[in-house]
Amino acid sequence: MALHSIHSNPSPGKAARLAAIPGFFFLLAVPALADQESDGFVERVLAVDANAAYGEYLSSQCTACHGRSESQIPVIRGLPAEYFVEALHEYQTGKRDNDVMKSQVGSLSEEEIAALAAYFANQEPQ
Amino acid sequence: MKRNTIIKPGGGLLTRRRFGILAGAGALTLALPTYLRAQENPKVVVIGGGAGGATAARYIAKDSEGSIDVTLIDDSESYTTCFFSNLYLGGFKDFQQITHAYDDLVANHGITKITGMATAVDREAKIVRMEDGSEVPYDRLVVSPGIDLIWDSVPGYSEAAAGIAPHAWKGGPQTELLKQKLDALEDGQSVVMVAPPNPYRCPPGPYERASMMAHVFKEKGFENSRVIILDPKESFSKQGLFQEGWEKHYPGMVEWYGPDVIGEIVSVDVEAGAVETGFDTFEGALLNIIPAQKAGMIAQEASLTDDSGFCPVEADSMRSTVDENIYVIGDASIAGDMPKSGFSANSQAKVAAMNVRADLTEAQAFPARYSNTCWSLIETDDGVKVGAQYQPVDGKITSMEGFVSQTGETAELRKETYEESEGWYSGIIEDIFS
Ligand SMILES: Cc1cc2nc3c(=O)[nH]c(=O)nc-3n(C[C@H](O)[C@H](O)[C@H](O)COP(=O)(O)OP(=O)(O)OC[C@H]3O[C@@H](n4cnc5c(N)ncnc54)[C@H](O)[C@@H]3O)c2cc1C
Repeated sequence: MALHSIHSNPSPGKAARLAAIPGFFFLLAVPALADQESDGFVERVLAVDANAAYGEYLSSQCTACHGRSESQIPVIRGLPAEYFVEALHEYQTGKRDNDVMKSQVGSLSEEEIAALAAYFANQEPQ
Repeated sequence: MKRNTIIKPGGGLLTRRRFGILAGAGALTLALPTYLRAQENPKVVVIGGGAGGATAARYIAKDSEGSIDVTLIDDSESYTTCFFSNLYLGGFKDFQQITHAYDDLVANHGITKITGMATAVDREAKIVRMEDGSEVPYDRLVVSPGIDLIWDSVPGYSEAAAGIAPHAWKGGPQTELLKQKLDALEDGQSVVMVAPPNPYRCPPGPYERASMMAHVFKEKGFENSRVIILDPKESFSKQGLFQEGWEKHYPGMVEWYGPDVIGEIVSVDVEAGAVETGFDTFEGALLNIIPAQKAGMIAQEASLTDDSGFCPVEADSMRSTVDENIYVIGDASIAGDMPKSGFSANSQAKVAAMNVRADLTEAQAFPARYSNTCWSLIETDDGVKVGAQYQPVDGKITSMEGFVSQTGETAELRKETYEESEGWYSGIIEDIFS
């Protein structure tokens, strides 16, 4: 499995600002995010032909913490793929700061992020 | 001898006695437990309905969508988590909040739950034998019995002595007993804890527990009670973080002594409330003795263990190295760099579940990935964590990327860490039992 290159010093993106706004349903209502601010990462990952079965398997790592009720740990089922990909990229680059998430997503390849994003975008949040 | 209770999907609770009566009345097909009926579907049996076993049963049943029959065997009607049991001790949770039923697994995923003790595995015939004499056949068996205690690793300690000096290292009545005894202490009365040698379940557990005991003393305004930890290990998990926290929140209240000070733990006298060490005898109104550990009895019984007392497994699948039809997960397994934790057991269960499905159906097996995070609470809103990702490397589950909380972190970050652990608890319970 290929490791994707980690981009350093990305400029603050929309997703980071959105992340500061509480409330998952608000996020759902936000239109797809543009990709100019992440070196084409989001666009590239979204173009990957995602493996659904692989996404389902990988997602089981996430669901050890991310459940169906909102807490300090957000609900990620149903997140739009663009938002999901950008958020994971920001954990990889350190723009979002959380030790657990950084270690969880640190070694994910673009294919794996694509598979996860596609899987979660298809899930009902509740 | 206890009789099994069997809960089948679609309701109906069958005891073997009632089954006999119904069978006599000519209702044979209806009354036959699922696992005795001729089946087209491959059969998976899971021994142990804890963090590992219940997750494995759920994922195999859920993801195979009815193409595999899953039977979950646990000796209890409900499961009390050891994780967060220290928070129960500290008064942050009540007992109901850490106790979970199997009903949703049965109703939502068609899992058959057998309540009873598995006493043997006939690996040749691929049959699990139950205490009441019944037999449960399998095509694949998942073994997740957790740990058993090596009573005589602390001379003078025994199963009977645990009624006076609880270990509380298995969830349930022992947890409640320890809390009752802790809550009954008066100012000036102390706890003496004997910590276990490696390897044991939940490396930070004894030290989180000591923190929660000190929290109870502090809340009550006690000034003369102590929590004394006698440790056979030279160092312990998150040591700097715990010691910083004890100094900050409970100055002078928690005392930790390693082998360089106390030498060996010579013996314990639970009636007298005394622990004799090579250095001195320590007395406490409450003794909490946590002995050395080995894989749960059924793993030994089935000869799945090696000399270490735990079960060797293949790093890329959690398959037993001694029997290709059996997977061992959770505390009972030798999982390389992974600590024995509920998080680890849950993570290993998913790798095993995927491989079980690949063995028995068309499902694909992907490369194994494992993860773990252990959160600990030191005092109200002062949480710390340690964790890592793991992958198989040269046949061993190997730590890839790790992290640990730092000393001197802000109160705000510590509060976030605690709140994160609350989120994890509700998330993982849903992931195991819903
Ligand atoms: C005080 C304490 C605090 C902890 N805190 C944390 C924490 O914060 N985070 C964390 O991740 N982990 C924590 N742990 C560790 C965690 O509880 C264990 O690692 C985890 O439960 C292991 O899962 P398991 O499936 O291997 O075993 P268990 O969860 O123990 O499940 C085994 C089940 O199988 C049943 N069983 C065994 N043998 C048989 C048989 N022959 N027939 C029928 N049923 C059988 C048992 O009764 C039990 O219900 C803590 C542990 C302790 C003691």
